[in-house]
Amino acid sequence: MNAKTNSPSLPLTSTGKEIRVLPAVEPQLKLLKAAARQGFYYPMLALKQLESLSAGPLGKHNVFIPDINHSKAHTLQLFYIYLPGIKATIERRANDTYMVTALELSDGYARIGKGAHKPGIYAISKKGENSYQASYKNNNRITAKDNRVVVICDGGYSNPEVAAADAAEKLMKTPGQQAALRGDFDIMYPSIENRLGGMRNYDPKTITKGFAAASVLANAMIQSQKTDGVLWVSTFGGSSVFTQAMYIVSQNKVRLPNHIASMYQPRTSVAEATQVAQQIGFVMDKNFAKGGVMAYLNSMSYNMKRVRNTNDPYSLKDYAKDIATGGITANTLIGAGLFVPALYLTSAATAATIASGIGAAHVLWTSSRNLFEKPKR
Amino acid sequence: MLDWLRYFPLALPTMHSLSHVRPKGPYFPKLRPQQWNLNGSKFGFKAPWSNSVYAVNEGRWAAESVSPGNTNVLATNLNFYSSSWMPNEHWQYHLFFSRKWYFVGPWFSGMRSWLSMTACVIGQDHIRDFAKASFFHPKVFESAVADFLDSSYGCQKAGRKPLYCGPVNWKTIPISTTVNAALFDIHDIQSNIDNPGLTRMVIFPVTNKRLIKIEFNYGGTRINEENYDATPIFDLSDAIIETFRLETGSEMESQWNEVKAYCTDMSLSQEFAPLRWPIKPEDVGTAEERPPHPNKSGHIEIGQIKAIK
Repeated sequence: MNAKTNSPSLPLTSTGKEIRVLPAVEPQLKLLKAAARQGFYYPMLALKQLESLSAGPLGKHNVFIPDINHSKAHTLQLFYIYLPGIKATIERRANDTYMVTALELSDGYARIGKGAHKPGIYAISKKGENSYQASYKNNNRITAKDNRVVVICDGGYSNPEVAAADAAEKLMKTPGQQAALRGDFDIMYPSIENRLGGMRNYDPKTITKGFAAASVLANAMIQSQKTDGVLWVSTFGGSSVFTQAMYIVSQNKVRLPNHIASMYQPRTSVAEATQVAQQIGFVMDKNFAKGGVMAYLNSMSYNMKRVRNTNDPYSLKDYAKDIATGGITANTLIGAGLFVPALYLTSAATAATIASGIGAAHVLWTSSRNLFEKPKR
Repeated sequence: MLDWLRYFPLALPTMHSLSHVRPKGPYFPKLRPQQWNLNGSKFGFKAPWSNSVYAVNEGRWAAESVSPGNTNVLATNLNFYSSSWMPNEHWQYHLFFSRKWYFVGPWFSGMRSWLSMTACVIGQDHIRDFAKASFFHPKVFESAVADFLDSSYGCQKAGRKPLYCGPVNWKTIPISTTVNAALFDIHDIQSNIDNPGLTRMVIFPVTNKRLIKIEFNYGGTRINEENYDATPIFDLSDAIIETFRLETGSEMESQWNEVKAYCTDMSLSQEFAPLRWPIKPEDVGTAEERPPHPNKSGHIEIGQIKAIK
């Protein structure tokens, strides 16, 4: 029996240098392993990185040595490894074993431990009469069918089923209506605790929470090049994930010229999304930039470029119409009592505002009737 | 004391958080009596009003409901299920009742999950699998339920793995002095086999050729939900199921008595093992023999069908 087998805990790897974990750190490692087993990408990557330490720390970019003198002497060495969302403190002991003495996981891992649902692509289909079933796509690609509709959901849903029900409802107001009626589409479920975007986080590039989901989505977009006529629709703050993913796709020099892009009530910068969508070569929905006041102000600067682009269905007529009506869906107007002054500033014709005000009042009335159940027949 | 305001069905984006809370709903929780007209028979139960969750923009959930009113729900044509849900097209349905009760977090933090109740008539007029038998016969009823579950839930799979497991927790509930209903769960085992999602069903026969299926859907809530306290959701469904009551009309009585004449034991099985899933759509119903028509072959041996499943 050698000294190694007497170590306080089980080794992490079986080959190379031994990596062991202090008993105090084991709960965190258990969480990490559980997350990796469930298929979360970053935990898997982190665990692999940690295991690769069995080949020594040489040539690794994420290993940091706090005191170089430790490294020179052939005694105890201390260093840190930075992994996605993790800081690990490692000691090299005198018996040439690496000992993980601390493992600091970011908050996201705690959420995985609480049973969060995997971020990724879910195929939605009708379950029974009027509910939806969401089945996780293990290959993280969209269903390979022509004219497939993919909804990029916002954060803040309890689970993919809830997200699917909301997506189906919102799809009715987008070019993906047919898919909603059939109840057959894909969703990108980002599994983020809170909603994304909004007035204070308007720049999609700064929303770091969406990065993991965006890389998954970008991969799915790149893999779907051979599928024709895919419609990508983001709902609400899903626009941030969508924009980030489009950035990644355009960085990869991939073009998706026969895919269609649309955004339902985007909560992040429309101008950036429009710009990058044009780079990818998306066919953009005419209502691509329709959303709140912010989206309107934000898009007006860019919509003239859309008009000049002959491949874009958005024409001068649409531009004129958007200016006249304030470019805001009546839906947004209802709650936006605060923004009425802004409307006057932005709309050229006051009459149009009044007309849309009446429309908004009508919508308000019809939706207030839903407060109580109403029999259909 | 401030619960009327605390759990007001309004979602504000700034108040949004998914911390672990006990959601509450519906806004008017009083159970109110309802009744369906099943061709002279009456099915009564108590359920609360459902209400929408309001929001300026995001987080709005409308209470979409379907009510049969006083019409005879059995006097309608049936529709096919979507081909992805029931590839073999063994069964048809007519949805006549649906409610969705939303459960909201405190202080306008938005909707967490819901309980939905959907009732439909199911039957198969287009194929003759059960043409010679009556659903009032307990063994026929059980194999019809198995056939229905096989054709829908049993066909759903991811790769070679089934998405669902069921029926589990099979129970019979005496909804009337004559007709019994089967109550059971279907587990959604796709993401986590130890902590599955749930669908609860109550099925009972209403005529020789028609079943009523009442389905409770918990909006993706898992059995041991970790993100919020799901007890209020499960409690409401239990409370509704407790109030189920069937007043059999003369026509249902006579059909039931016809079967009773040759069937000595009209009670349903006390146990029902989970079916073997996934099953190929074309294999549904082929592995077993249909119970022969009792009027021609006489008495059905108990255990004849049990042995098959």
